[in-house]
Amino acid sequence: MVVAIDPGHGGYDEGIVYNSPDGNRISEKNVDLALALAMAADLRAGGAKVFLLRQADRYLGIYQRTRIASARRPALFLSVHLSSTAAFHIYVSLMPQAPVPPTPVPQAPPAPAAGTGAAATNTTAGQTGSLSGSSGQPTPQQQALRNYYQYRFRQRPYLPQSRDFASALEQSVTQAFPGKNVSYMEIPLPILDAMACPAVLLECPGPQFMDYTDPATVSGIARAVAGAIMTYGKE
Amino acid sequence: MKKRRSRSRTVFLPVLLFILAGGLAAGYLYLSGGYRIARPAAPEPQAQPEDSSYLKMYYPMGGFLQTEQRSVSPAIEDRRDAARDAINQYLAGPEGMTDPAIPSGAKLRRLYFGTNGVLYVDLSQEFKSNFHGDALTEYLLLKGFYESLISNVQGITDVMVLIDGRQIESIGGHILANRPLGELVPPNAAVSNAAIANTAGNGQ
Repeated sequence: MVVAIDPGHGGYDEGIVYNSPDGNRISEKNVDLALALAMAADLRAGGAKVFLLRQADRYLGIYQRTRIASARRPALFLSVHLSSTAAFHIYVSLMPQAPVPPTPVPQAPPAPAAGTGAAATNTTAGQTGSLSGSSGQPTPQQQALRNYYQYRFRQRPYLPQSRDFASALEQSVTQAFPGKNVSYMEIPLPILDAMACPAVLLECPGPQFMDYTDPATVSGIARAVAGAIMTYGKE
Repeated sequence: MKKRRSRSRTVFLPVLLFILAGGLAAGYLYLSGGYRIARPAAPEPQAQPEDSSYLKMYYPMGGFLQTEQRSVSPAIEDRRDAARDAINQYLAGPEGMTDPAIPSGAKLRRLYFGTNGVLYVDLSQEFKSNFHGDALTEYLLLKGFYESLISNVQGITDVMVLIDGRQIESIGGHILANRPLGELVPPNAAVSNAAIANTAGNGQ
């Protein structure tokens, strides 16, 4: 089983920032990475194959993350973040209820010569036409549009499995941290929308509510999450 | 018989004098302000200035969108005024804000009405750099912004956020902001109320 773990934020995007009373400045990006590394270690010890979307403090955009994760075809995807509250939040993607609107296809440029592949490489699965500019290279706006429609609805067939995965995660975290509230929500989250596998975003309690400088906190969360993933994987 | 009548007069006169004296004292105290009866304050009729308008705002607060009615002056004359006032009121945040979900220091730079019904709102960098919330907060920040503009500005069908004149991928790294918001924070995207209620009272 290949598990993709996405440590949230990174680089100039710090996420939630907390200045503790003892003068420490805690950035979410660092806590997310520490949690993800600990989860990966526990999962590997249990025999799972794991890859992390980032292993250092560097910026990755949402589209970059979806591209990197999708290329590895994971069986399970988990994005790790912190919440602004004292609770654990577990999110699953909320897909539009209405039928998917037809993908707008900009004016196709003149057909390229066979083999040059401008149109072919710019045609996304399930769509027709080209999103490239007249020079053959897509403009940034066209590239953004292409990215958006390429990944927007991939999660739809996996939603029931994502809910099962979220449920396993909820049970495991509740058992490990009985004093904490664990909430479940469904909102449109592009990183989850784009995943062609069961996908969940986990937010751990904010740094003002949990001491992430204590290694026991990080290892406790990692153990609970790894346990849920292994249980879900076996089922 | 005479004796009996004079006795009742001697009892009745002091009582009458006492009642009169009490009435005079109470009247004096009431008029001088020394004694007031506690009464529920009658609602003062709200004077509605002729040169003001009302906006219905949607603010992210504690895991929900809360509505507030805001009076703005001078009165809104056109949709550009309505858009500018709604954005400035949104950036100012809700009354008595304790949960700073709206990034501090953000300013409106420019407004454009697109021919496609999209209102393009160019905000200063602080709207992105001073946002440090979680996924739900970011979602509600954008949804509240969208609802506040759609509700108050006539003739627009969608809202697009720009930062320092440029299209950006995301405000806080969870929700896309590179498309008109109507698609990104759709009306059918109701967040589970039970889940939010559970979160709102989070205890350690």
